[in-house]
Amino acid sequence: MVATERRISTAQLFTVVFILGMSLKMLMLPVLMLKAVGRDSVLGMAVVLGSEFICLAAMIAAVVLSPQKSFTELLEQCVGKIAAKIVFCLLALFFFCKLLLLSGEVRIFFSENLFGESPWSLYSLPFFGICVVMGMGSLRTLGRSVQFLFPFIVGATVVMFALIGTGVEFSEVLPIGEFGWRNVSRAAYRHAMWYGDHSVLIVCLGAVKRTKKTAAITAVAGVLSACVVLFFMFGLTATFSNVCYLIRYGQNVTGMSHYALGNVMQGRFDLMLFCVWMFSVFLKAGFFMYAVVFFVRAVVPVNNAWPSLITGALLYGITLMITSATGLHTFMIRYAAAPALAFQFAVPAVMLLVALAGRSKQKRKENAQPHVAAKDQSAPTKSETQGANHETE
Amino acid sequence: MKRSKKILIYKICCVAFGAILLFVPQRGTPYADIRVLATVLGVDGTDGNVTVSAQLAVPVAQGSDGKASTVAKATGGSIGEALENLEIGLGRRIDFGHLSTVAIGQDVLLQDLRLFTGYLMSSGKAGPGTYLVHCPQSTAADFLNGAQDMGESSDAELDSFIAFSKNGNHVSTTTLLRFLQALNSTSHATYLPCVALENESAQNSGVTGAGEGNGMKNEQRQEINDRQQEQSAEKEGQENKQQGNKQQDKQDQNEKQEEGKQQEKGSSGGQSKGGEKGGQSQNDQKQSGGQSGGQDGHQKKRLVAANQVAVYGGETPEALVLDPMVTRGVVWQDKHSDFGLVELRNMQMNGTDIASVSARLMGKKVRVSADVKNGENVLNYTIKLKLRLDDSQICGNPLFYTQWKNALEKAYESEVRENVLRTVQACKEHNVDFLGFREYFHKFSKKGFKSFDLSTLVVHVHVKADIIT
Amino acid sequence: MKRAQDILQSFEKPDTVFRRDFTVGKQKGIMLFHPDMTEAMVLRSVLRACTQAEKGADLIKLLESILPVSEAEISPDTKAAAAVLDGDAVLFLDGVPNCIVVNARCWEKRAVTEPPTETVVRGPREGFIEDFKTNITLIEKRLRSKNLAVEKFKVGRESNTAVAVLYLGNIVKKELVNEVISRIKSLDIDALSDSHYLVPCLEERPHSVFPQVGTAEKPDVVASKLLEGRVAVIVDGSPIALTVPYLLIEDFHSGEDYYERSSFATFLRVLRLIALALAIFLPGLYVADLTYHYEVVPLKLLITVLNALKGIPLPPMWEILFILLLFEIIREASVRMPKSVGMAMSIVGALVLGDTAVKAGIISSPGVMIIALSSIALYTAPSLVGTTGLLRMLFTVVGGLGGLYGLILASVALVHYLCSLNSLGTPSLAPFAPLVTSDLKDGVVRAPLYAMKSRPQSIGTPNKRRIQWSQPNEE
Repeated sequence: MVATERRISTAQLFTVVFILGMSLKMLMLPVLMLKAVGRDSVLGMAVVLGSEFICLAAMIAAVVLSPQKSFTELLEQCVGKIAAKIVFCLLALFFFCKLLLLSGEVRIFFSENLFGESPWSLYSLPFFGICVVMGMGSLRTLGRSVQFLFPFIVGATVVMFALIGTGVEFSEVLPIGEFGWRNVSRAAYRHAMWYGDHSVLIVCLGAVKRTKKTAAITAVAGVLSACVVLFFMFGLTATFSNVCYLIRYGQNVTGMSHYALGNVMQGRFDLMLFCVWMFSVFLKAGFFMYAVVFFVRAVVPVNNAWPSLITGALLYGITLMITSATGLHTFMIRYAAAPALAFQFAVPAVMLLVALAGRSKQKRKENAQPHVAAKDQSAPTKSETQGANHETE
Repeated sequence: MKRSKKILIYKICCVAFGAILLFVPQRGTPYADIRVLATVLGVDGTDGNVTVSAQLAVPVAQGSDGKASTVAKATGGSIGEALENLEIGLGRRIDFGHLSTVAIGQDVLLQDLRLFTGYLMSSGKAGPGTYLVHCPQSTAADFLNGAQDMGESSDAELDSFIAFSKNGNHVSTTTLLRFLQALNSTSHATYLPCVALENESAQNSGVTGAGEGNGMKNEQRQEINDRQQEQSAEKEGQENKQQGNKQQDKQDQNEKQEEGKQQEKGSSGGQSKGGEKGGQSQNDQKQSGGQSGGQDGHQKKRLVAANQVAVYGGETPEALVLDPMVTRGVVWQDKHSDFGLVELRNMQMNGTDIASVSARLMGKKVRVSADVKNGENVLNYTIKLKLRLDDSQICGNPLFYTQWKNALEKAYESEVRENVLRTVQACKEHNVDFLGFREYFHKFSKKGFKSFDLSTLVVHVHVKADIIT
Repeated sequence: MKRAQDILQSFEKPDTVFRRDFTVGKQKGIMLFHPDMTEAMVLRSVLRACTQAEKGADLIKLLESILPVSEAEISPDTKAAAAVLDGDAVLFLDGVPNCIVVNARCWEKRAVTEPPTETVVRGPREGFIEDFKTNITLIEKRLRSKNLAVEKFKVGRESNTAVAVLYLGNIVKKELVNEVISRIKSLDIDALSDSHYLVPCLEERPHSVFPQVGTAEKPDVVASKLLEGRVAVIVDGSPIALTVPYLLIEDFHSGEDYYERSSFATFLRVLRLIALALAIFLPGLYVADLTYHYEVVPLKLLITVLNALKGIPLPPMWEILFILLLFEIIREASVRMPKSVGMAMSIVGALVLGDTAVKAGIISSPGVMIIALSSIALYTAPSLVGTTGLLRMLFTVVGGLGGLYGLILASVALVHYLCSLNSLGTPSLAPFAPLVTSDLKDGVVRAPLYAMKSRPQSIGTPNKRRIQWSQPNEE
């Protein structure tokens, strides 16, 4: 068999980080924040993005410094198998909840904007089906999918930028600071489940083809996605600052693009643009699913489709039980905020610690055996070099 | 599991899912036969007795004699109920995706307007960019009926007139979102443009459209009427000729300019020729709003729009309709209206009397700053205008660049300043902050906001006009 | 001679093969040949030479000095039967082991003409035919290099079809060649009627709708692909050569792209991509918008379309599927129809669909227009017609059932699936996913020839340099 490269490249990592930083935060979160703290939602979002960037930096450091081993291997080496499996279960549960939340957001968006009367119980099936298929696939395939669709997503984002940038009056954001930092922080805390999406990079540990610029490029991706989110938050706040009580849950970016579009006689092409942008949401769902299956397989080592199928079935079952999508919001805000916040900081911290521990262990091993030619940390293993050198930065 | 078996399972699942979807009750998806498109919505009444009317585009089979658009009306206890009754009455689902305009009837009070517009936006029936207009002289339902007649006679729809006015004339327009934003701001007041339809052959003395109550003299008005009648007769005589005549267009433009000079309308796009201009610019074959229709026995209608605004806010729940002179100031300070024809009248330049000078506004920048100076709340308007002169007689004159240009610019600056200050005065007189002064202080000056008092507000208007040829 | 007799007896009907006895001096000899597949003149000259040979001449002497033929070799007796079936003449000498196989093949073959599916305005017009030797010669003519390797073997228990694997030894990855050869040799089949029979063994996912093996009908295209580091497979009796690894973007390329100016070639490629995107997505978008998303369509267009749909008994999705079905029936029938009735039936088909059905109100004119445009656009990539035809039907159903949501999901699923496809280790969506920036010069854009200095890295050839070009200084 002709071997192929199994890792994702730095360019793919860039696209992954960009999409992870963007998607979920541009669905209902801006609307929820706006309804909670009005104009100060911009500050709240800035706080959220700032904390995310710190976590991203830790994760980038972990990816760059780790030996070419997966997180599961490194953690098992550090804390032992049983403790590691407990951690894997928790991580699987965390990403499962994230995926559940994402599916709820998709449901709200489509049921408010595009499907008024169609039963989500039926229409969610293909969504979960695709998630299951993505969960069964490889990280390489996900990386390639993101890379392929990235230009379309960015193109749609840029056009929406231009549309909203020229059509929205940004001075309506003022005055900021009326609610005070306490309320803003509380709002940011309560919606903790909506961010911290970069945590899913944990599955990329040891699976990235690193170069000298990997860290810088990934950081740039994080910054860019944060800027995009912040811009759209600004736009939404400026558009609906005094009438946030009127925003429908499904409106988000489409509400302000609809406004910026003005005359609807030419058709709602902004909806088409947003649908292209929605590729990023589905790809993100695929990542979450992959992460769940990754950790389930780490707990129960099976190498077939069952973990993905069972996860998909569970998701669907829970979705059926949740009759109202806003009910899901309430649940996430009330019960999941604290654990989500904890995970948001704990995952990168653990990732970094584990990577550093693995790295130092490997260095000790190399130092203990000086007659064995030391392998370069960033060089791929033998089986990887046999593959075609497909990917570049 | 073998791959071939997996693939078979995938295929079976897809087929089964497709089959289930096909038999789901919602599969009775409305076809083209049971859906209509609403393009304009009218709302009248008060909460408890709401009347909605809608101009609907109805699909007709090609070659059929059926009407392509119609106006339907329904009543209900609330606006939601009224819309539901509308659908029941029509026997079709109404699609609001292309709703371009919402017209508010003359008797709608502030609290009801807030309720109606809030419902329309939050239910998703009207988008945030939907135009909002006020009918000061009729109910919205009557207005829509008249607009329907105008559309039939001129082959141009109301929404295209309004869109044309918004894009091509110096008038004030507002959208649902902007209206609600302003209403819910700290100023608690805002304005929306007025529209009306008047009969083409009306004498205008009794029946005034929005564009006529502008303080002009009776003699001038009579002259206009005579001219209009002459023009109507002229145009009726020319109906059999080829409409694609350039001279016809030129003649219309010249007449419009002359009319403009006579009428002191200045910047209104809803002038008497507005509809005709719009109609002729679309299709040389089409008759304008004032030209045809009479032959069919229908009363010819023309749209007279947007040289008055209706103010909501303050202490009175009813709409306060401002006169055109005050409206002009509103339009000048509106940064969204940055294109259209503007005029100066009765000027003197270098010893020469000039009855009127028309210039086309090519761009307008309005900056507002709010500050507290010497214990007083001071609001500064800085308005920058870019004007292009149409009149080649003036531009071609050798004195233009040496003397006239500066004089004209100063004249425009003075005119704009006076108009805006007049509007500010009207604000204070009525004690309604429809220009949003308080909101400016709320945004830019916390100190000023705390001590804001409309009556003692000092407003400075700085205007800079730049004429290009 | 017993061994010759044994060979004859091994045939189902021994008299299929002719036997001609001769003597070389006093030594007896036998010539076996298939009369339908050999050239009589060659046989005569061989026999004359043999009979005139000196007494005591052995096979080697016979071969080297006497036989006036260019293609002849000494072979073991075990290959004699296969050689006879290949159209060779086999000479046995009594008492001498082994035999001489003489190429006396002669059969009818068609002329080398332009292939129907790869027509060009500019460029070579030679195309492969069914003759094995001719096809290989056409490629060898273009690559007169010592590094061109042609590995021949037989596949098929009954057909013993000749198969050749061609590659350039200094360019290709050796493990790729080994993989291809081992896969072909492992195929246990009774007969190989066409090169397409080898495709399933070269593909990783033979059930897939998407091809993972490239095809070419022109020798210049195959030569270019060999120069990029690919391996070509030629099958006797098939005018279509297979090339691996395969990239999906290949099917949007035409041989003519390299014979035109780069800007025009780029424009054509972009046009093909747009056309194919329209072909696949337009019917689905049309159905989705008219079923669920009126607000997306501009008002005037919407009213026009709704007026046209007024009175049509079928909902948009079923109407489009019905029109699709009609189009596919007409297309299939036109391929198989005798030429004598083709014209008349085409007119009937066009009238029935284009005019009568619309006037009768069974289908609408926008629907016919959409499907007509889509059907024509499909043929901008003729090798993908089958795949894209199925895809557009799928997207039509998805759009009708799920609207824009369904289309987005289906698009994501499609892209994810394509990203998981590999062709013998090379990702099908390269150079876009994974991104190989150096290969983008010959992806959607066709850079000028002087800019394409290196071979495609997606295929992973060790020999990267292709062109060393220094442009003349402008004066």
